[in-house]
Amino acid sequence: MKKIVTALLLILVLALPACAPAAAPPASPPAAEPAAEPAAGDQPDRKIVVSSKAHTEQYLLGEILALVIENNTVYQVERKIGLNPASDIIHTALLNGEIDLYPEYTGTGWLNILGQEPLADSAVMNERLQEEYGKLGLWWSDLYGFNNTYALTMRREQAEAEGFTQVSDLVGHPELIFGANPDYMERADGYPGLAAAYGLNFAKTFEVDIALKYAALDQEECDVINGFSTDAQLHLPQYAILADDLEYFTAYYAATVCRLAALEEFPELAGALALLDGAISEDEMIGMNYAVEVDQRDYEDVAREFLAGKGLI
Amino acid sequence: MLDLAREVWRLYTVRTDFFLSLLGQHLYLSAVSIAIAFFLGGAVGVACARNQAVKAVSMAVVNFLYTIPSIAFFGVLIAFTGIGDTTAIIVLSAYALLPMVRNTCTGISNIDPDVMEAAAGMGTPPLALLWRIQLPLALPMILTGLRNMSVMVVATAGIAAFVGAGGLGVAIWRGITTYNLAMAVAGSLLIAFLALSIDFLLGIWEKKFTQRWSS
Repeated sequence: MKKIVTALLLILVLALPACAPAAAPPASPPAAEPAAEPAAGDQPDRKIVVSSKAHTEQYLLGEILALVIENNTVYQVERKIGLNPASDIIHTALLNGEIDLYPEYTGTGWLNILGQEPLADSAVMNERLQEEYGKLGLWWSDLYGFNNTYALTMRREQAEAEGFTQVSDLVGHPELIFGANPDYMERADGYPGLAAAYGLNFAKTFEVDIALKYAALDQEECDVINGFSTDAQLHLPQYAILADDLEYFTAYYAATVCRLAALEEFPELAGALALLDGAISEDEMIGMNYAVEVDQRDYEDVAREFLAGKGLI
Repeated sequence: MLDLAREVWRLYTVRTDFFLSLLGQHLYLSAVSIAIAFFLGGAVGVACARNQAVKAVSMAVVNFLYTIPSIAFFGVLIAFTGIGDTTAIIVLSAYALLPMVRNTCTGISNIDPDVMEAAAGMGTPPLALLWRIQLPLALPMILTGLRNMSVMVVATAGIAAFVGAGGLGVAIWRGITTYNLAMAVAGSLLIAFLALSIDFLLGIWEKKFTQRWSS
């Protein structure tokens, strides 16, 4: 009997001290906003929850959103940055109101989350996107400015040896192995659509996590990967991008997706988000990704410096 | 290699608070999941040892839970329990049930029937039979289950980061997804350290109990 009691106690001993640190984070400094801003009047008693998916660009954009809100409104921000990269998980969290906003790409919203057919005209797609999201109680901000679409990428050495410069050059080369993240193999504008549009007939495909694509390419596990046009690695000399000569790829402009209810609850929020309209060019995004992935800098610092340089914080 | 070690060390010293808070979250998630699995799994294990039908159904269920890939498990649960601690704890405890149920059940079933008969023959009431004979005799087996299960939970808790529950997985995923090897290694090492420490501590307890019984 004693032994059982001691065993149970052991569990409690394990569990108790651990409860303390976990309970700590929600208890933020209570006296954060003094009465310095009487104009703010009814300040909500909860924080704005900013989220992002788990890859470099999203960590950066999530931090940028958090900083812009913290520095341009009276509200406090809770960061839930780096969620599972599967878009439906973060979208579900948004619908459930567990997060208030996160950065998303127009193409991902249209094709992946809404499950619509690809639309060639990106202006039409954006308009319909806003309409459909409105029905879900969600809202798209204006675009940040850069388009992070697909860029089929090869080892430069191999591309030059075989004379590949555009995607249609790959037709009739079944010996090449195509590598991509698992959801690309499934999605409407992913591998099946790409293969059909160009008439590609690779004998083998290779599924690998987004972050490991370039490693797989380096190690010759595959020969062609679906790079993203803002990937830092694409600036490295060992890779060659194949031109999308049939203009097949959907546009993936980045913007903020936010709950309409949150915009009402936090009246200053929309104004702060508008600061990012057209604020990030493709080169600037690549530069930030490069600073994190190649120069190994902390994304928080890179995001802060970028915003400070733009005078946004 | 040496550069990597140096960089990992730099991360620990420069970002001590970051890693300590992740360690705290990791311990919390693991401890709660272990406690739930211990009590729930123990209770189911006892029921399994008493009734073959219960055993057949329970083992099928916990085996099934154990085989669900974590990503799929999270994906489904998120629709119901949302992102955060709850989802992570449900998934971690569900995985931990199997070793707990199996060891408790086996531990009790393996008790010499003569011992049980003697105790029952002396007029021991059923509940006392469980508390004073069966559980103490099965304890070494149960503790082995607890030990295996705890190490597994601590290791698996690395994926909790994907559903916003925090823990050391945050450092690992951040490292992998931003091509920062040192960050991923720093998180992994702490998880390994935590798992080994728990294994070591529980091992001491386990030994204590088994020694006391054999002497």
